[in-house]
Amino acid sequence: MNIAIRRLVTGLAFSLVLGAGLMMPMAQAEAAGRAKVTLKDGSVVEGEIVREAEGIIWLKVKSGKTDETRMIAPTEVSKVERDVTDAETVAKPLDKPAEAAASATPAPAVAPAPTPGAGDEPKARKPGSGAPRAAVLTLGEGDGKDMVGVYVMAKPLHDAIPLLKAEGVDIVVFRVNSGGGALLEIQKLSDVIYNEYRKNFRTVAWVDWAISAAAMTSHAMEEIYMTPEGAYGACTGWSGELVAVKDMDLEKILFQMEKISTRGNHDPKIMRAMQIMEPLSATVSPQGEVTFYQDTTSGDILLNPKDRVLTFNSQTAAKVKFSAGTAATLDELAKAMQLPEVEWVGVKKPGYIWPICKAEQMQMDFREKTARDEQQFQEYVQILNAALQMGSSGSEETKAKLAGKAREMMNKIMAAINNNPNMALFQFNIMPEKFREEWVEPTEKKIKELTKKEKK
Amino acid sequence: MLSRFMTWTGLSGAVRAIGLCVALLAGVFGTRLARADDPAPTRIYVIELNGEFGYDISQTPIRQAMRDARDNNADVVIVKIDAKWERDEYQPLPDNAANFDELFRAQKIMPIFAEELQRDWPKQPRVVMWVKRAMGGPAFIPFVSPEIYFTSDAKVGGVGGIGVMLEGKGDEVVRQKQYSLRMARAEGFLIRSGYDPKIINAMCRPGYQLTYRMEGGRPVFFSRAPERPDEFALTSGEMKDSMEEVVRGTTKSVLTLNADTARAIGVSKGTADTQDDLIFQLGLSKNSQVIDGKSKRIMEAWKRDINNATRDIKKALQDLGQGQEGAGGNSYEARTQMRGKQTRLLDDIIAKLKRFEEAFGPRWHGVNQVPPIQQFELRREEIGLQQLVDKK
Repeated sequence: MNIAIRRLVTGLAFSLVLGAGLMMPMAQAEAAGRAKVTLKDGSVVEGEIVREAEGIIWLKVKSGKTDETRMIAPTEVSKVERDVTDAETVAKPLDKPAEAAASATPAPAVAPAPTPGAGDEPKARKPGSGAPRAAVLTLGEGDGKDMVGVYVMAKPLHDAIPLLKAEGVDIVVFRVNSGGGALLEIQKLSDVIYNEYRKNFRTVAWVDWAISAAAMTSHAMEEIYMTPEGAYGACTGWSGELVAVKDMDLEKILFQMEKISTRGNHDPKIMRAMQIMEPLSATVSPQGEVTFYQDTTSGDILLNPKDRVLTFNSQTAAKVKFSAGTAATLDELAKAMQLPEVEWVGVKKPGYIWPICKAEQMQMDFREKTARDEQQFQEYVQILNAALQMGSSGSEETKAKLAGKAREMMNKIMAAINNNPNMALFQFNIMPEKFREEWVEPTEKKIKELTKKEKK
Repeated sequence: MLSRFMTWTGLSGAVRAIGLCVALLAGVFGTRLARADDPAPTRIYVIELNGEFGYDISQTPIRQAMRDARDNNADVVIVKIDAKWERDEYQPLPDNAANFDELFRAQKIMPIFAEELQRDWPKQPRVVMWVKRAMGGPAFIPFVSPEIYFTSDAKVGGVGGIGVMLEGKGDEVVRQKQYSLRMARAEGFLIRSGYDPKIINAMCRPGYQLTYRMEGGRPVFFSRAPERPDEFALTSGEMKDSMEEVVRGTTKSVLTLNADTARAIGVSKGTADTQDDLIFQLGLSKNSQVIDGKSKRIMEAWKRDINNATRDIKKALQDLGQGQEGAGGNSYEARTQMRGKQTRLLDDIIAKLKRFEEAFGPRWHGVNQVPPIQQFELRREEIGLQQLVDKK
């Protein structure tokens, strides 16, 4: 009779994200034909196109006696020449990675890196001095309110955009403070950041603690700043008793992050070293160009030894230009962002070093409500369980009273899950879309059984 | 100003009269003259953190003490750390015992000396960490400040375990993830205050070899064994220490900072065994004033309150058990009364557990045999249901 509360979250969460990964709106083309790709460093790679997505080209190239598939990010590409006889529709050589991206990925989700301020709707007229207006939005706030998929979710971020526009915001700073969470939310968060925020605002991450799913979320942003004590990485997928995601599931999440790396214009080798035990080194040229190597010896700077998983601190991130700067305060951040003038939108509140804009207040309210629901959820489940347990014996009148109590609790649980569907996953280990079938219906049945016995 | 005035009064009549006039003028323009000629003493506030880390040493009283320091216009806050490092009251822990994950407990305390200063203080105070014993979680706290002083017998460490603490659990890649994120956080604390993050790697990661040499009066660190006569090994590069080393307190698989080592590698700015000595080394002995703040009372009140709460909870648990023994009352009224009493006891336990949640960690629950709060909440709900279905 007992309905156990289970928190075996990540296993199912991972399954769910993989499901979401398969249904991602990101366009992928199973391309064919040969191509000659000229890279920015002048070298030319020639081979058979295996696949294309979001401007990334996978080329099968000769490597000694065998073939290997090489993935080329748009940021590496200077020019693509295609075999016109194989595919007339993609015959035109593309000179810019952005064009390649647009061509290969017609869906909205794969538009070339959006231009800040190029939103669809006109923004509200800016009040004040005419200096750019910036707002801080938090992705997690620590102290138990930081889990991706519960407290960091795509929907409240999406809902905040009209408020940002109404306040005439030009720049959105995502202050990241999360130790990670469910992989299922990453694609949704990446989509809202890439397709909605970057389209409408100059969008930057200001990272204090971006671990695992939080780093994977932030990876859709190109402009990243760190706090001095900031950390970014450790993105290994796992579940249960520290069991790693493996095999096909692993390949899928690696591929997903290759594509998200492209969105953020980050070398995919970085994220790979954060996900699995791949070494990483880098060289910064005198011109400031950074080249990453998936080994310990090719680069001058060793970022990740073999048999380790990478997490950047603020120094290493800055050294290889993964972060654009380090800032402890808003003033330092503005300086790092090269904003001689900036108007921070919102009202000052005790306990915060940035003003709270309306969109941020919305995030805070969402987290507060979720926290309250989460806390009360336990009580609802406990009372429900107790009522069902006690109702297994006793008089008909007793059973009827207990059935009433159980139903009251069930309704409260359903309301909480309606507000935040991922709670089904985190509280019951049930995928949100199966919650009705796997929890509500059996529970209803148990409650009805109590009253049925009463009629006998 | 007072001392100057007193000198004048010792002069002859005429001079004394002039002196009085000057003194009166000084009274009129007192503030201005005082600033120009005789700056106000530097106000020093002292907070002593001693006892068990996470229990006696916890964020609530520390935050209260820092607020008191702010309200007293402190210019300098000295935080003296002397935390217990023992298995129990009879068994001290060796240097190479490890409790890395107290990092996450320290993380709740460290912002009080960092972000919260930026946020809450009109003028940033100078925070000086003065360490006697900071083993385990407390080891991270001094690094929040660029000014650390050691006592001559000080020890900072007890945070080894990275790379081994999860041995035998799960998959290697997940263990590495866990180590990686922990190290990055710990490194960040050092980076913030300008220390080399290699130091914390040597303190946390058995087998990590750290060497230094002095260049231009400053230490330069290398992640390898010494290669020159002027280079010194800070760790052995071994994964474990011998029993001999453990017994003699000379373990080197991970770095434990003492006064000399910390001074040599620039972590400690100096060694001071008394408060006067420290104030002298801070360059404040000539014109400073130690504020008679409430920090001691705040810390003592916290310790008293949590000890009282512990005692009260244990007593309530006992009463609850006795109440259950007599749960089968004969009349509806008796049963209702008994349930009311039990509910009040449960409410009291739950309230105290919530109030002191930060100090009542898993260890406290284990030692005092107090079940988790959820069990009490469930019991309370069960009583509610029993009352619901009971009949006269």
